[in-house]
Amino acid sequence: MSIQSLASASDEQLVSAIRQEDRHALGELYNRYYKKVFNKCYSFTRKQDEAFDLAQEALMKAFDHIGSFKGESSFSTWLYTITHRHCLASLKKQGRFQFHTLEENTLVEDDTHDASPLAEETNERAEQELIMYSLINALPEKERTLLNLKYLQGESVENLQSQLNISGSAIKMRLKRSREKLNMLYALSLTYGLEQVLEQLELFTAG
Amino acid sequence: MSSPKTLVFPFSLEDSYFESYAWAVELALRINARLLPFTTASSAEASQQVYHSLLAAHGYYLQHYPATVQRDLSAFREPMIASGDMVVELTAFLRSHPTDILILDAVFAKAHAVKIQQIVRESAGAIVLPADDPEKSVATVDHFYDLLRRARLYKLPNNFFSSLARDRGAFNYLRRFFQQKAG
Repeated sequence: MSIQSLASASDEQLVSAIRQEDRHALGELYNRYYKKVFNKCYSFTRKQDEAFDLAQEALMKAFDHIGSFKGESSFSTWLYTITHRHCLASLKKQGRFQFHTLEENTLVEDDTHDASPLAEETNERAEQELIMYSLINALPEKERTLLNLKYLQGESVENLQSQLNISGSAIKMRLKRSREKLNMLYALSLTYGLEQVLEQLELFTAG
Repeated sequence: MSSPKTLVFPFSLEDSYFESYAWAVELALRINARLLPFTTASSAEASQQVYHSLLAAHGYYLQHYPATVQRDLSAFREPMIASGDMVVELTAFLRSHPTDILILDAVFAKAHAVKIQQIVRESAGAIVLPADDPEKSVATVDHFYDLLRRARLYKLPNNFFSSLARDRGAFNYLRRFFQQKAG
């Protein structure tokens, strides 16, 4: 494939060329996606160094096994699925998110519906947890700290009162607002995609 | 079981370092070492550029060194990004982190020629890669060994070549080399 045609080729055409040992096609396809893969990893970790590590590994996995791409979805979907799974596996391995407790105990404490978590597919649940984890990490520091203290570390409202030096009712009100905000962001993430929501959130908090 | 060797590869975004980076990655995989890219950046934004650039460099590697065996992901480590003067930071880093082999790009070595002995002194061994050869073809096993042959080597560990000798590519290269000589 010539240099000019590489630039105008579709992803799938490039994959075909790669299968015929066209290394330039591999370079072109890789360059189209490496930053997006990095950004996706960053949306999970919120840390550049970890995002880099995960992106590098995910890209290598994908491009070293490009022969296994069957074309049943678009190349980008295939690549993002590999990235997503790799991020998920890595965070789970590190024990970086344990939101079963959070979900069961509290985030739905004033919710009326039966979440029946056992009925859910493990993958789906892990994905939900990952989204929640990423969203909490993207919240402003005060909200993030409060949620982590209450739901991850299990601090009581009384303890929070003395730690944060604010009244119990103020703490309950802040927790309620944070939960509502989180629920809304979660719904938006399911609708528009996590990356999009995190991007907007970053712009909003930066402004 | 001994811990894997550590290779340190200092680089600057201002230089074209992809070729040397790719070679360093390939060496890390061949001798079961871990590669630690090292550079400096003054801000979070600059750090992001470093990460993007390294990912692009990694693409160069994947493009030019086709996988013949399953690549071991543990060969790769997060890059070390310091802030401050490159030579000062690198020297301090080498003093505090045992490094088996330092891999230096020709452009990097030239840019810091005055202090290169000082940098090399702080490492257990060093390889200074040759400048790009415009005649070269895409990277192959031969290209890997060609670069090694033309590199300047400083106090490499005794087991360096025995580690490399386990690599089948080395055998093939030497066989072809001697066949050419004989012909």
